[in-house]
Amino acid sequence: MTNEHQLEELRAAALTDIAGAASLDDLERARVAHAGRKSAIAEILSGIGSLPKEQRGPVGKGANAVRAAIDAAIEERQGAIEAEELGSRLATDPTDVTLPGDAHPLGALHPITQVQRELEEILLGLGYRIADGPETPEIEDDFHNFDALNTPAGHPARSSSDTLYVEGHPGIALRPQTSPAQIRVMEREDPPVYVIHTGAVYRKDDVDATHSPMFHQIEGLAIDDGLTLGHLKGTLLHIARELVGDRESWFQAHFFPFTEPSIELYVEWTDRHGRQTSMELLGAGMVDPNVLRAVGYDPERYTGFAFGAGVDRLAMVRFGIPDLRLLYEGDLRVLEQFA
Amino acid sequence: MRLPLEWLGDYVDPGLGPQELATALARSGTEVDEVETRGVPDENGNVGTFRVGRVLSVEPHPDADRLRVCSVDLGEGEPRQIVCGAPNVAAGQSVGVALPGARLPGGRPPLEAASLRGVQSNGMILSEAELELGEDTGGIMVLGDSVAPGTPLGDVVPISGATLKLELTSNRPDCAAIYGLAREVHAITGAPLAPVDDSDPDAMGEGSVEDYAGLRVEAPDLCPRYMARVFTDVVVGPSPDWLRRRLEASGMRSVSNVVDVTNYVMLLTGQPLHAFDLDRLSGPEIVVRRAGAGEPITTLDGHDRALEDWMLAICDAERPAVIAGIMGAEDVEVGPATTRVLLEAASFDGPTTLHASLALGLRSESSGRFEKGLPAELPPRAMRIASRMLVELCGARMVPGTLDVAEPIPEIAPITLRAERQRRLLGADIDASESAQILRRLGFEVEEGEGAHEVTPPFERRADVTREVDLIEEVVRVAGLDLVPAELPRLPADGRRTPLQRLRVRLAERATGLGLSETISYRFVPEADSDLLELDGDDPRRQVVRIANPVSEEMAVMRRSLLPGLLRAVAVNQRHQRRAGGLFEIGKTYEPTASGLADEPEEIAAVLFGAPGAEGWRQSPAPADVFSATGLAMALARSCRVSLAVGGGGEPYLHPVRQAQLRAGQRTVGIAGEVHPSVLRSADVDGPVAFVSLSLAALLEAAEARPEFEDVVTVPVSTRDLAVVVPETVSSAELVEASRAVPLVRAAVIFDRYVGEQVPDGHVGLAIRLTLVDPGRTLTDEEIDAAVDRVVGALADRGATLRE
Repeated sequence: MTNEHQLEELRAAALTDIAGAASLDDLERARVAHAGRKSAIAEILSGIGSLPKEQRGPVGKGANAVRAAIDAAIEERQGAIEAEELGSRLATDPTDVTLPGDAHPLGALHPITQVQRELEEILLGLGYRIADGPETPEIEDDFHNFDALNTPAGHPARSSSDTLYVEGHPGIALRPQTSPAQIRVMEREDPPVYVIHTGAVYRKDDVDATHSPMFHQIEGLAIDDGLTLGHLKGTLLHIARELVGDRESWFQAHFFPFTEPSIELYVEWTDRHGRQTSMELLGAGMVDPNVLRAVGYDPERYTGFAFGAGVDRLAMVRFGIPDLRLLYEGDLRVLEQFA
Repeated sequence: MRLPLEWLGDYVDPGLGPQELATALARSGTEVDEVETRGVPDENGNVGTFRVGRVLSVEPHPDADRLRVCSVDLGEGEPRQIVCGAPNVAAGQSVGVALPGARLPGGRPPLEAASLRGVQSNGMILSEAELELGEDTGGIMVLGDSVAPGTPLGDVVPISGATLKLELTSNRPDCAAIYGLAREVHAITGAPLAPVDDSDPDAMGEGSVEDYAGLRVEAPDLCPRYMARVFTDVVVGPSPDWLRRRLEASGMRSVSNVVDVTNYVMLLTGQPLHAFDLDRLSGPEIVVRRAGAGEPITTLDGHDRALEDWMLAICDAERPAVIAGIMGAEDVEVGPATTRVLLEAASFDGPTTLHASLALGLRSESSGRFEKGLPAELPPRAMRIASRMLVELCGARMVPGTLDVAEPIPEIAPITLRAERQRRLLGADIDASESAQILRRLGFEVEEGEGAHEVTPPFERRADVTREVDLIEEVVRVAGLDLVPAELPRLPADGRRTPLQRLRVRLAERATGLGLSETISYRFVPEADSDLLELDGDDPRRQVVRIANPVSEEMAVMRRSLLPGLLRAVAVNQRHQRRAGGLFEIGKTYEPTASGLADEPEEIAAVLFGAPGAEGWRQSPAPADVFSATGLAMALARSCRVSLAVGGGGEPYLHPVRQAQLRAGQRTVGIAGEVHPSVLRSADVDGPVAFVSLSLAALLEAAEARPEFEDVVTVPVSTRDLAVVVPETVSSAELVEASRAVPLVRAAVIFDRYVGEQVPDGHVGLAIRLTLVDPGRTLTDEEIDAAVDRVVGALADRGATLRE
């Protein structure tokens, strides 16, 4: 006679064995014992047909419930044991994770390009466009290099000890500054003009730690109705803040042939030896009326400003590079530091 | 330019320390390189602790042979007892005394009252060396008798000095003068400006100047003014201490009193002067003329020089005595025996002086001033000041009269300064009367008017200040740039990179992402680079922009190819034991045109050397070869959505077979390949090196504006792999092209290649993966099989047989 009590005992015994199974083998043994074909519960279920009709329902129902509970417990226990076994197998993995990871080649933009890009981003953000490519040649004539920039014949900058000239073509030279790009742009466009240009420039300098016959400048030009020295100051301070953060800064009056008045922006700087010093960040000024006249702008109507900086020097200061020559040797020991 | 503040103090005393003055000068446009200090530290009242004392008595020290015990009157009522070790100290002398608490030069700790061998000493009697005034003369400094005890020592001798080293801008030759700087300091600080005594001395010499010398100016275009005076009874000797000190502080050497006077007046006024020994000049006449071609002169520095026919010379009857404005001849210089001096003050053409000094490689304090252009009004003033000094310091008698040949000096026209224009340019309100005041302090004449001033610059500024805007600059730099409120202008447009600029950014990002580092090479290169590249004699790339005055032979012509520069970079790296790597450069090359200007096409070029790529404990990259190059080229081109096809190339600097021309459609975009071993040998580079070059303009033209979406998601794609054997002579590109020509075949990719036992000699085995698709529908097996059969047929036409 199968009663409720008996079923409950079967269930309790099965669950105890299942819970106590420490391995999949233990669990299999428990399964055979408690849910196998020869288990008590299987026998009860197969014997239901021989029971009196009125007992078949209650006994079948009870036995099936016990059988389901045992199956569920086995499944759950199996999951737990498998997880444990996986965990302990992984935990004993002998891998030394401190070995180097797979190497990926890391290329770097040149420090000059990095500073150039940063300056470009700052000025693009202000709404300037970039002039470059064929509209800003590096081999230039006297007019764009000097005349239009208020640097008359006889000026020392025009001498062959300062500027590199093209053989067989007097007056054609490698541009000694990026400013001829200003003239090129103004010749082509009417105000308002808001443009920057970065690129290589050339001087007759011997190569040493701080001089190079080829170096890079950035140049900005703004011509519009009503631009003032105050606007120039605001623009330079914005560039400085974006470039070097909030630092003590000040303006000094200066002289450039193509701007009047001319100014320079200095910032406080801590050099690579930790010394407190100052750095000339940008040279600038209000575009000289002679320059505006040279490109056919009316200086009574339009005013504007120009600014510029030596990109190599900024890169040297920013990255603490002690010798300008390091920028032009292609030495991967140097370049890959900036990846 | 060096500015000794002690000298400046003769004319203006702004009451600022050296550093503060340096800052004020720098902010207003006179850059200061360095503040040099000398002598007693001038801070915290230290200078006041140095006094003049009168030695009342000197007694021997009871306990030390070499020490004396002095009683010194310092004007304090009670004399002080001071122990002194100098042998020359004596009663009755006026001496310099440092009081307890004084800090001496050289960073020593403050002086203390002390007991010296049992005797109290309440100060220190000073030597010149201790004050950094001069050499150690073996004793204390003895002053003149007339100085009252207790007088600050600094009033009597310059115990403390600072010199500012200035970096003058080229527009301010007037500041290459102590007095010009005094005016500048006056203008920016408002401190009163004392005049220079430029009155003539009495002319006590005999006769008149014409009796001694004549003057002929044959080149008035290069010498708008020439003045000369004659002095007799000159006694050449050493200069007084104060003069010597000032010259030395200014960076010049003391030579003799006469020469020192000319240099002193040059430093004071900015006008160079020249003194000749009149008796060493031949003939009675000074001739200012262009030199003869090759005319010789032995300059003061002992060098024999040949002049050119455009240079200006000051000559006697026979020969050049001075290269005008630059340097005199050795044999007419004033020397110890000189008694009669001819003194020159002249104006010379700036550019001619500059070019002559450059051509001769000879720069001097004088040429540096003349080359910037000096006004013709300046010589008379300098002449007067120097004349007085020659009379007072050299015992000279000035002969009456002055030789003076001058071109008419143009009048200086007044300039209108509109208040409104000033406000509009500066964006700041500076009061009209303040503007006037600033300009007057700078030496300008100002006629104030309603809304505008009429302003006449002083002659010292005639070349620099010619327009309204120049006046506005003067006003704002002196008033202070801080007065101008900073404001960011509002721009009418958004900034955006152009397609070319975006291309450059993308290419650089792709290249660095692929592990290459960017390099920047000099764009001027040795002319021999054409030979390095083994270009044919008639290769157009042998046409180069040649530099007339190159820095060196290594920088003689503008590059036509980026490869040599990259190879030089590889060589640098290999010298540093770097065996592998990748470098790229984006930049222009220069094609000369008839006008002298150049076409400047831009390209990206890259080299891979050794076995580039990642190397690790379980990675070993393959050596660079043509496939590294073509693969790199494809990856770079894909960054701007350009798909490249490869074909054979014919570059002489690349391996004759292992190179590929890169095309996009019909357009040639660049070249890729292995650098020719003989080029590598010439470049001193170890192979292998793979090279890629792509034209930016061509990439930009070929770039798809916007990639169009292709449906590979909803339409099933079928793939089939084929293994074929083909003769070596058939290019894989041909097979791919033939496969892709079959309808429904979207792609054919070679994914394996083998040679060896299973493949007959002269043949290769290739594995080709076909991708088949018909947009919009699913292909049936029959359709796919039919298409594959057609591919097999097409490959068979090219000599390929299917492998089992």
